[in-house]
Formats: sequence, structure tokens, C-alpha cells
Amino acid sequence: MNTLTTLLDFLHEWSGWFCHKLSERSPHSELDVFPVCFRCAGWQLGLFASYLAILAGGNWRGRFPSLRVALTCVALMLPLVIDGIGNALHGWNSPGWFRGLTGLGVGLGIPWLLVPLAYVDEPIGPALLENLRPLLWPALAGGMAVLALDFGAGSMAFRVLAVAAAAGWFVFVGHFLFVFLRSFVSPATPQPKQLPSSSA
Amino acid sequence: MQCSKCGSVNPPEAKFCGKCGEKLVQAPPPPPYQPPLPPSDEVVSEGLKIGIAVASGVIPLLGLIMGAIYINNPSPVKKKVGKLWLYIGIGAMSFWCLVTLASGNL
Repeated sequence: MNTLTTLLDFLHEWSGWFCHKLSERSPHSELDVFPVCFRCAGWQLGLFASYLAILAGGNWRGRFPSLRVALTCVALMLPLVIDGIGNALHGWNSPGWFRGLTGLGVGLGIPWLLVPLAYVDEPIGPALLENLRPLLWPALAGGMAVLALDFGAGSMAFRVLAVAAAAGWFVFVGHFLFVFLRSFVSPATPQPKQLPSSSA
Repeated sequence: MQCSKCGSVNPPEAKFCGKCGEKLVQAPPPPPYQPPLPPSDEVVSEGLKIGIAVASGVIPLLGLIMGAIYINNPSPVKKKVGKLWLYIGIGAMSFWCLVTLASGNL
């Protein structure tokens, strides 16, 4: 148990770089406090679930989603923007589970836009997200995880979710840098095709 | 058929020029006509590109929406600009969330 508490302390220190980590706005389990706040937890769990779904789908070099699907991914981020502004301006005070779900929307939407961005010049196969069906199970799993965090997850589940959230965050940061380096620092320059020389 | 050497006109079925004896070669058919794209479909002005990029740093949703629209355009120029706007939109979305979260206001 001591090791598991140390794990939470470690994640608290290292996984939420910018999170305020206010205890009253973070999930609790018995005597433990989650390493990050509800919104960050939802966001990071959403990232984890989406990256897992993309990895499981195996189509990570697929084309960029169609406009309709891409805009749906963007729309998933709107609840956080609206609820965040409302809370910041003291218009209302959302409960923890709701904050977590708004963060989850951002976490779910971002990877489906970021992953195909790396290979947008030379995609292989169909679109990474042809319809919204692949988003269903990450959304369900992430939603259940956020609700479990607010309504009493067991001690072990609490720690597993903390590790998953930290993994989602670190994968996102690494992937964001990878896309930047691949796309903007050393972009692939397509070679002009050689025309067949006409024989005399 | 016109001889490429002396320029004299020969019957279409002739294999050699009747005047100079040069071998006559059938000219390849001209490529099918492709109407040129209007310039406005291919070009994104620097002002628009930089303007949306800067605005996306402040309003990430703008970059995300405009990027999604442009990256789905068949023009490679617009695709490239859309990629840039999307990247800035995603980065700015994350940055503003983190900064606001860190301040404890979100």
C-alpha cells in the first residue's frame, strides 16, 4: 500500500504540470486524492482512451477525417469552453463529474485530429475516422471512468485510472512534438516524377 | 501527314516522305484539354494565412474549424495551410486550458 501511495505522490508531482491540483476540485478515494483535478482527469483519460482506440484500429496513417466528422470532433470541445467560461466568470459552479466530462470531450476529440495531421501529405488507407462509431467505446469507457472517480472508485481502480491519465498526457505531449518535428521542421519534400525518356 | 524534315505534305497512310524519303512518324495525340484552375482556388494570401494563425492562438476553435475546412480541400496549398491552422488550434486549445487550469479558474 505504501508503494501505491508513493505512486500517487509521484504522479501528483509529475503528471499535472499545469493543473492547479486543488484538493476540493479533485477526485477522492478514501484518504487519497487524485493527482490532477476533475477536468484534467477527464481530459487525460479521454486522450488515453482515444489513443488506445486509434492504436487498436491500426489505421493511424489514414486520411484526415471528412469535414463533418472533423467538426464533430471540434464540437466535443465546446462543452469545456462554455462550462469553463461560466465557471471562471462565477456564473455557475459545476459538480466534479460534470467538469470531468467536459474535459473528457477535449481529450476524446484531439487525437483524431492530431494523428492524421502527421501523415496528411502521404496518407495510407481510408480516413482515420470515417464515422463516429470508433469514438463510441472510448467515450463510454472514459465517461464511466470519470463517473467512477466521482462516485467512489476502489483504491486499486483509483490508481489504475491515475496511471492511465498520466499515460494519456505523456503520449499526447510526445505525439504533439512528433507531429511538429515531422510536419514543420523537416517536412518531406516530394521528388518530381521522372518522365520516361523517349527512345529514338 | 507533314514531313518533319522537308515540311512537304504527304498522304496520311504514307510511311516515308515522297519528296525527301524521310521516315514519317505519327505525331502523338495532343493531351486532353484541362481548364486551368482559377487562381483564387490555389492561392491563400499571406495576410489570411498569418491572420488566422495568429487569431487561432487566441481563439483556438477558429484554427480548428478553419483548419478542418481547408485540410479537406483538394488543393495542396490549402491543405498545407489547413494543417498549420489545425496544429496551432490544437496547441492553443491545450495551452489555454492548461494556463486557465493552473490559475484555478476553470
